[in-house]
Order: sequence, then structure tokens, then C-alpha cells
Amino acid sequence: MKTTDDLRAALSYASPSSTPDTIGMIAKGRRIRAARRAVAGFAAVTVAAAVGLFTALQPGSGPDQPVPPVAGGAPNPVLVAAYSSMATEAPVKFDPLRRTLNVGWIPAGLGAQYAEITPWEQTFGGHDAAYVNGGPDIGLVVTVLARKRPVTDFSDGALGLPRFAVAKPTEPVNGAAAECLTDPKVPGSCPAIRWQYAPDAWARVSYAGSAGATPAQAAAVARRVAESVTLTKDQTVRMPFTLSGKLAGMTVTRTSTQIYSTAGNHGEAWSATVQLAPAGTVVKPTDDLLQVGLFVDVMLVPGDPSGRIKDRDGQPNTTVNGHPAWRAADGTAVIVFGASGTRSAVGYPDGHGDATAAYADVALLAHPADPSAWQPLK
Amino acid sequence: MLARAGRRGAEEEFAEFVEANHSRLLHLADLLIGDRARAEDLLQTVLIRTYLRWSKVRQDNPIGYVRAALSNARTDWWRRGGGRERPTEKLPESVVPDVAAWVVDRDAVQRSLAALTARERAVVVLRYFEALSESEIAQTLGIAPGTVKSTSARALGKLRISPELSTPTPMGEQE
Repeated sequence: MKTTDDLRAALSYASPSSTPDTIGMIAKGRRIRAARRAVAGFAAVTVAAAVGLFTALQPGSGPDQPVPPVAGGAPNPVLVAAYSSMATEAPVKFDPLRRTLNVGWIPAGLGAQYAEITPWEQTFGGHDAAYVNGGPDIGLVVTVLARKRPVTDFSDGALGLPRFAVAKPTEPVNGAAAECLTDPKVPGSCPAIRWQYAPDAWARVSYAGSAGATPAQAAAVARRVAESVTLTKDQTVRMPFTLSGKLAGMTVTRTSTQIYSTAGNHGEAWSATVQLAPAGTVVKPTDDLLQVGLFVDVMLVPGDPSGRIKDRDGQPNTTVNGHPAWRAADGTAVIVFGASGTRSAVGYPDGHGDATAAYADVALLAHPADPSAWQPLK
Repeated sequence: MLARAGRRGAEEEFAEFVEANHSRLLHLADLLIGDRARAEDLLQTVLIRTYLRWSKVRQDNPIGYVRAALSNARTDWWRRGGGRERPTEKLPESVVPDVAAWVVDRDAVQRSLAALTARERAVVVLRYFEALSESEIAQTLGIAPGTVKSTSARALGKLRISPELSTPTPMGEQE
């Protein structure tokens, strides 16, 4: 490539023609609109009732008064470390195989809960019960950064906020100085809060959802979650598979687990992913971990032991360990259907590697359906 | 009745917009995301949001709205995205049966773009595929024009040494 004209030409590679499902989009948009109206109506009634009750109980109460309590409880215990003792210092790097993030309280009804660990951050989150795919992004995200990582490591957007929110000082969180992230157009908004949970180590909670019908309520939920966040004694991340051979010697750069309370994407009950880099690799914060090395991804669709996503996966073109499988033409990716009732995949995102050979080092648990019975990776 | 008639007219207008621009927007999403299946999912989501805001978007700049939504789809949510970032969703796209040439061309470009950060990638795609000016890119991505310039320079530097796209002659601006 000599010139930017060559680049323009390369970017304009011929694509297959596409046929948009415009009718489907409009139909889905109508459903979302109807659902929003129903949620808004319910919220309005609920808020009116709650405010009425609260006002009756607290004569003279005004907009600065505390909001009504919100129902909630502990997250899925598989996804957070059980609290034992509070760490007074954060590490400069997290171990993706060791979970230390404890979140003690989340609002009720949070589905599709997930947890992810990279060397630079640990994240816990989930969908709000009213979330509709294609609708507004509503739910909860909790992120703790490793020590010395800057606040710019947080993604630009936080739930419930425009891309560039304004930070303002707010009441401390567990004694640590904290900042509200506010939408300048919404008085009193603070759906996201960030604070130093340990010296030189930042955390952020952002929330938008059913329990936050007003800015004050959303702020109260975010704060309550934030005050329940601690770094605790490390616990082993467990997976529905174990690694052996060459894969066991590789560097784990990312682990991710998502557990659905109802059927999630493609109907799955859970998915678990591990990203591996060549042994000895030292990843940098600027690395795109999803592009380094290879990944192992396993998911379970209850009631469908075929393990194949009909509208997404290619037709099986080989077998692996006696199971039907799809293997990419260049061999850099393989999906095995039905082993232990799962869809299990190995792939090299950078396009270099023999995925089938790598898959030989992945041993699925015989009965992986229950995440609480998973095993350490290696 | 009038409201319903008005809505039907707006829906027809939205449908025309989608049908006229879908192929180009899907190509843009594919360049930004690097994964055809995820690009389709993302575009679908963005277009549904566009539909929901059509009464406002139609009066302004629908293409600009969709372009910005695609380019900025990296919030807290999209980072994990309810499973939408699961790398396995990269796999099936390779089994497009009869478009071998497209796959080869696309793969070369995508492997090169994979070396870029999300922002570098967005700047390159908006600059050299969408032909936006630096100020338009700055507005789309919500960053300073100077940042667009430096990001673009850094991205071109990376592409220059990309094994998929490199040649003995350094890449230079011809504008």
C-alpha cells in the first residue's frame, strides 16, 4: 500500500449485498416503545404511591430527603468473591484466575449477571429486568481498577449518562473521597459514582434501571452498591472445563463468566470464556486482550444438547472427539457441538494457530450444568 | 387517527432510509467492529434505536446519527455487552459459501485494522471510508480535532508496517 488512496480502496472491499429486516425492526421498535410505556406507567404509579406514603410518614419531606428503600440482595455467589476480610491495598495487577471483588448488594431483578477479570480490572454487572435487547442500556456495572491505573481506564460511557459526564465531589464512599458522574442536563443526577477503594486504586459503579425511576433513586442505588464493594481475600475462578498440556502453560489474560437468570442470548444458561497468551507473555494495558493468543469459550443451552446455535453457527464439517464440529477453513477456529451438552469453541483471533490441536488440551467437565460445581482451570 | 397516520408515514420514511443505506452502514459497522455477525447485531440495535428516535433524528442527520452510534458503541455496556463481545461470535462468519474473493479482501483489511485501537480504527474508517473531515470526525467521536489528527497519524503509522498492507514505499497523504 503506497498511498491513502490505496487505503480507501482497501476499505471499500466488495461486500455481499444485505437485505435489512425493516419490518422486523419496526415491529421490535413498537414492542420496545410499548414496554417503555408500560414500565413508565408502572414506575409512575409506584413512585407516586411511594412518595405519597413517604410524605405521609415524613411530614415536611422535600426533594432532598432520602428515597424509599430498594429491594435487593447479594449477587450470584459464583460471580463474586465471598467476603472474608477487606484488603487495604490493591495490587498493580489482578490475576485473572483469582477473584477478589466482592459486591455485597445489588438491586433485585438483575439478570444476565457477569464477572470479568483482566490484569487491569475486575468487573461485575448485569441487565436490568426491564432490559430489552435493542432498547436502552439499563442495568448495573461495577468496575474496580488495579492500583495505579488512571480513571481514564473506565470506558467513556457509564450507564445512565451521556458519553462525557461531569464529575462532581460527593459524600465519601466508605470514608474515601468520591465523585458523582452527572448528566449536566439532569439536576441531581448521579447514576455513576467513582471513588478510591484503596490507595491509588479506583472503583466505579454505574446504574440505570427499574429501581432508579428518578435521579435521586438511581443515585441511591449506585451509592448503596458502591458502599458494598470491597476487595477481599482471593478465591479461585472456576470454569466448566480444565486445561492441560500446552494450554495449561499459557498465560491467562482474561476470564469471563455470564450466568443468566432466564434464557439469555440464543437461550443459553451460562457462558464462560478464558483468553490465553503464549507462555511468558507480559500484556500491557494498551493491548486488546481479545486479539492476543487464543480463547476458549464454552456455553450451555439447557434443553438443547446439540450445543449448536442454529441461526448462527456453520454446519458441522468435521468431528472432534466423536462430536460434530465446525472447523474454519484455515484451521484457526473450531466449535464442537454437544460435548458434555455444551457448545465449546477455541479460536485464534489473530488468525495464527491450530485450534483443533489446542482443543485437545481442553477437558470439559462431565456435568457442567451447575456453575457452583465448576472446577479450577488448572 | 391523525397520529396513527403520521406514525405510518414516519415508519415508511424510516423503512426507506434503512433500505437505501443498509448495505453501506453494514459495511461501516463491519469495518468498525471487525466481526460481520456482531456488526449485523450492532447495526440492528442501532437502527431500532434510530426508529425509536426517528421523529427527532429525521429532521437532523439520520446517517450522522447512525454513524455516531456505531462509532461510539463502546460504553460500559458494550464493553461486555451482555455477551455481545463474546469472541466465539467471530467464528461463523468465515463460512460464507460463495464469496471467496470478498472473504480474502475483507480478511486482509480486517487483520490490518486489528492492530489499531478502537479509537484509531474509528478515525481511520471515518476518514478514509466515510470521507469525513477532521472536524466532522471530532464531532462524531466527541474528541478534539487535534486528537483526530494525532490519532490518524498514529494509525497510519501502524498500517504502514502491517504485513497485510505494507509495501516498500511508505504510505503518504495524497490530498
